[in-house]
Amino acid sequence: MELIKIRDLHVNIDNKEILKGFDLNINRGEVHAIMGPNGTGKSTLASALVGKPDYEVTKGEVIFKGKDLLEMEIEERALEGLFLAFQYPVEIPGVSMINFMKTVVDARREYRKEEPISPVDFLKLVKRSSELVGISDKMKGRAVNEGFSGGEKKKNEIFQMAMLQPDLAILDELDSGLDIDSLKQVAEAINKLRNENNAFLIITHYQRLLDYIVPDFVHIMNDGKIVKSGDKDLAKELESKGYDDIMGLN
Amino acid sequence: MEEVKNKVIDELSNKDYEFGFTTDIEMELAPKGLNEDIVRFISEKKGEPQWMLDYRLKAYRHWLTLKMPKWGHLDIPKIDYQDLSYFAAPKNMPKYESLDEVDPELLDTFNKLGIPLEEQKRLTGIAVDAVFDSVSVKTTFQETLKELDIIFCSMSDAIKDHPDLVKKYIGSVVPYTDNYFASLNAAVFSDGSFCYIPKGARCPVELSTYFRINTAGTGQFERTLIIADEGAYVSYLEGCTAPQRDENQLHAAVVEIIAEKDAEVKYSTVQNWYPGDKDGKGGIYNFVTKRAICKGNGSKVSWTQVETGSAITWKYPSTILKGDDTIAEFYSVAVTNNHQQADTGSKMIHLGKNSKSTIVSKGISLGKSQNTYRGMVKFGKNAHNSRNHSQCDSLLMGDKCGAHTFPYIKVENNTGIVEHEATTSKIADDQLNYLKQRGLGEEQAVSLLVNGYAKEVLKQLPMEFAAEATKLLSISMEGSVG
Amino acid sequence: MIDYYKELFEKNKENLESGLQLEQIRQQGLKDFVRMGFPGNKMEKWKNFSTKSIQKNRYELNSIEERTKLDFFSKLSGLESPNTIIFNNGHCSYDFQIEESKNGVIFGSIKAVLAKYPEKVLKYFNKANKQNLNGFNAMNSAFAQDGFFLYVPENIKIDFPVLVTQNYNIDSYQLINNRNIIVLEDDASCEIVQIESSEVGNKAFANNITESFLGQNAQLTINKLQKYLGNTIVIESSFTKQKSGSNYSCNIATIGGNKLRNDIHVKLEGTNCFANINGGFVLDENNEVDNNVYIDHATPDCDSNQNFKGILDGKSKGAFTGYVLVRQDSQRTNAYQSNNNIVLSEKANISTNPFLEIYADDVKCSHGASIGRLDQNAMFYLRARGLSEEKSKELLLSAFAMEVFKDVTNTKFKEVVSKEIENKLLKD
Ligand SMILES: Nc1ncnc2c1ncn2[C@@H]1O[C@H](COP(=O)(O)OP(=O)(O)OP(=O)(O)O)[C@@H](O)[C@H]1O
Ligand SMILES: [Mg+2]
Repeated sequence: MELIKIRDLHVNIDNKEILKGFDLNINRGEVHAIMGPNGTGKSTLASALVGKPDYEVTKGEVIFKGKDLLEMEIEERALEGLFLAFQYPVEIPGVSMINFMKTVVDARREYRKEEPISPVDFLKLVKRSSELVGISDKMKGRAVNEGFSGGEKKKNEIFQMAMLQPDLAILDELDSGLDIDSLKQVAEAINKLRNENNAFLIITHYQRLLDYIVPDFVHIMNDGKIVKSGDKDLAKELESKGYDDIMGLN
Repeated sequence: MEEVKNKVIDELSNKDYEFGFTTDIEMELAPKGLNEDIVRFISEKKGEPQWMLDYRLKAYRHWLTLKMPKWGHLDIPKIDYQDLSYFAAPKNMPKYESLDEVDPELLDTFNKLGIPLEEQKRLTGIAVDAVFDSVSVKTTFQETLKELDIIFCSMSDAIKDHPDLVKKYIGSVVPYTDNYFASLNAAVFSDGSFCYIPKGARCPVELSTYFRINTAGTGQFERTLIIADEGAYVSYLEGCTAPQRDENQLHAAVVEIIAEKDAEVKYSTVQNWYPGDKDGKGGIYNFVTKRAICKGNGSKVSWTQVETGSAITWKYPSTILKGDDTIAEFYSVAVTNNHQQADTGSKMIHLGKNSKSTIVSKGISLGKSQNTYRGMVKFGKNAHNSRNHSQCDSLLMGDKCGAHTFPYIKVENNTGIVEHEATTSKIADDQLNYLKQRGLGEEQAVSLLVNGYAKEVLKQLPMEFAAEATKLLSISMEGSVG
Repeated sequence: MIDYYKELFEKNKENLESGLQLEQIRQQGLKDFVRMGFPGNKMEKWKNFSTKSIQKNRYELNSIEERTKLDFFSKLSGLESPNTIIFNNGHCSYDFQIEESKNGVIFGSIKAVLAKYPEKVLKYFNKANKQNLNGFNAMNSAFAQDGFFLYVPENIKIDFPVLVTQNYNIDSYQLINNRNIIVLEDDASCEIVQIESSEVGNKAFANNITESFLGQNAQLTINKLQKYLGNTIVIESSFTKQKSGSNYSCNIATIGGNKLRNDIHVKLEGTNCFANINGGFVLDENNEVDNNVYIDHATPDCDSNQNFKGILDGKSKGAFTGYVLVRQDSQRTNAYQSNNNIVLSEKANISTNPFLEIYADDVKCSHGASIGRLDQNAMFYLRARGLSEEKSKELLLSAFAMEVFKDVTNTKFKEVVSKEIENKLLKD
């Protein structure tokens, strides 16, 4: 079943066109990977989808769960089930992780007209999610991302994803900053969370992550749009040949 | 280790003033004292038109209503304004047509200062206007500038030859009512530089003025006016020296800068007025008003100063960011030693949208000196999306000196961002030890660290000046490098 | 106007003396007040606080003593203490006068203590505030009516935080001058929670002084919540002297205030002292708050820290002036000042003046000040997780302001403050 449909998406930053007609369909249960050289607009796509201010959509449409995504506020998109694991998570001093998660979980439940989560259920959920991702209690007690190492920040993103169970999760360069054991653990967590009702869009530069989370589709992006799509073997091919060759530039 | 440090500091304190010679030239002096007749006398000596005299008289009358400002962190001995002479000029030499006419002794003075008037500066690409006591002596490099319609001349000439420009801009940034010293300057200013860069012109050489106070018991009151018209660019350098005298001499200059739309002005000063001897005797009182306006949208003004001289310095090169998308910068190194007192800093007044300013101030106090940073950053109601970043650091060397930081920050707009940081400390022991572990002696290490500390400012100076400034700074450090 | 207060003094002299017998102190206070008058805007230290609205009114001396309203306690939610003193409009609630414990602690209204132990009070009265520093301080010396007095003998640690509440609610122009004195002998320690408030209709002007004396290794913590409604004008001056090894921590949460000035003076007179002064203020509408901290490092080897944060909305005006003076022999001083502000509305304005005046060379002093908006990246991050704009803003602002209280160990106090801040933010 179709989860998101992106049609001819054009996005400007500072009046400069970065996305130049991006198309993609993702169905529930699918895992898509996007690869592409630095600066081609992968993070821009992610930011535009979650509604980052200053990302001006000049053309195109995005239908998410049958609704016009581009019409929604940032938080509405999140509450509808869109989740972005940021390439560079923001540090928020003074706001504790636990307080933050409780507030977010309740905001979601309120959106679905549910009662606030009971403290016991909340703690269970926290325990389950943190064990799944492998983050320490110490981290949970600290302020959001404050003073976290690069890898800890990435783990924290996936911890939040596990807590929130989104329909569509976009993972922007999850693998950068994670050591090999953490990468394995986080990938396993994602595989466990994967089911026929949700979908993942994985932005990465390396085959390595895709060895653990096997994608159904691989897309190569260049200069603001998808230039080539294929199955998981496309990523392998890319690893051995490089972008120029794959994109037919040589 | 304390001993070595004391020795270093001792040597620094005892370092003699390098430029402390006087020049024996017959001078024409105005009688001591200040009254309307003296103001008329100055104006007449300079053959000024009536409007200029009227302006001076208005300023003088206003000055009479004012009192010396007291708010600086300074201990200023009483100045007897009636005991000064307000005009001094080399006798019978109102103007030189060619270099041959210049009194050889005068030329020699400039050579000693390291400012050969013609040839050498042509090589280094600096046009020089040298102000000797009160009169502008010679402006070099005229022809090159003429081709671009750039006007660079003495203020006296400008009043005669470009009255419209002078009338339009003089007092437009620093009105004669601005403060006590600006008022005094407007009444009795002797000479100074005038510089006009027409639309779209990029001044290909660094324009430069050297000021020197020579005659005893005189005050020097130059007035500088720099106008960069739309899209113009100029870099302007100012150097100052004075002979060694036991009594104090007064210097109260006014500098006004106007940057029209998209224009850029870079103003660099190396101020090395005689600071007095190590017991605090003599030295220049330097009370200067310097202000620029980024008048047009997209204009930029940058102040850089290296302050090592003067017994007392009272100086706040400031910028009014009136236009939208304007940029102002202030970079300063101030070294005080012995009994010197400096109260210096900058004001950034943001009025236009998207205006950005930067303040970097590095103070170094030695001996029994007092070194104060005083600055103001203000965002007006309409200064949307403006930014300021200020960094003010003070270094203390010796336990008899003081370092003070007085920033005033006022914001009336909720879209702006101001960040201010300051530190005061001595040279860090771990840095010193690190360098010593690498084989440097204490003195070398200190010298290296101080230079590194001031680097951010020094690198803003034009190349020709940077070397000189580093040398000046090392007057303080020289004794320490074995 | 000065003449008016001279008359007011003469008229009420006997009345005042019958309450607090101070004689010389009052005379000197009046003399200094007449000499100095009201500080004007031209004075460097009063640039951000106009005294015009004070000078405009003829304040009467307040003699209305009121019973404590019971519902007042419900506001304190958990801050109740066995050691509580309650002031209404400057007067100590009549059912509390003086408490003496076996171990020598004296706690009570200064009126009651002065009557019983005059030498104990006079030993300290105006000794931290010797020179009647400005007109308002002098006015307080002349007109002082009541206040609290706390004496903690050597080695005594008071376990429960002492609670002092002050509430103003008079609908006419009345003058309140409270004088509080806190004395901690060597190695004594205690925490004081002060809740200061006023009601919407209040017109009284309060001009209070707190003098604190910390003996060697004494530890004093003051946690203060200021919540003034209505047209209340308040000037709170405190003067603290610290002997060696003592530790003074002062945390002030300011929730609004029509016109409020906090003057905090600390003099470090012995080695190895620490003064830690923190403040968080949340302002809106026409609130005006001016915080001034003066720390005098008069001895070597001391540390001081100032951390103030402000949130400004509406047409509010905020100011912070921090002063660190390091005298010539005060080597190995560490002093830190920080003031960060967030301005939420177009009409609000803030000025910040972090000053350092340093005459010793072996020091580490620094300050940072900033004025800006909410961190837009953090806002985006929170919203991208599903929080509404309002909720994200509230979360970030409250975290911003509460940061200054991170070292406060009294969690009850922190909870109350945090709730007050959230309520104030939600109102906007
Ligand atoms: N805020 C911005 N302002 C201006 N240009 C921007 C901004 N953000 C991104 N860009 C530009 O947009 C282009 C696409 O950036 P983006 O971050 O989407 O690339 P990317 O494909 O994610 O690259 P990488 O693999 O390095 O993460 C780049 O040229 C970048 O410089
Ligand atoms: Mg990216």
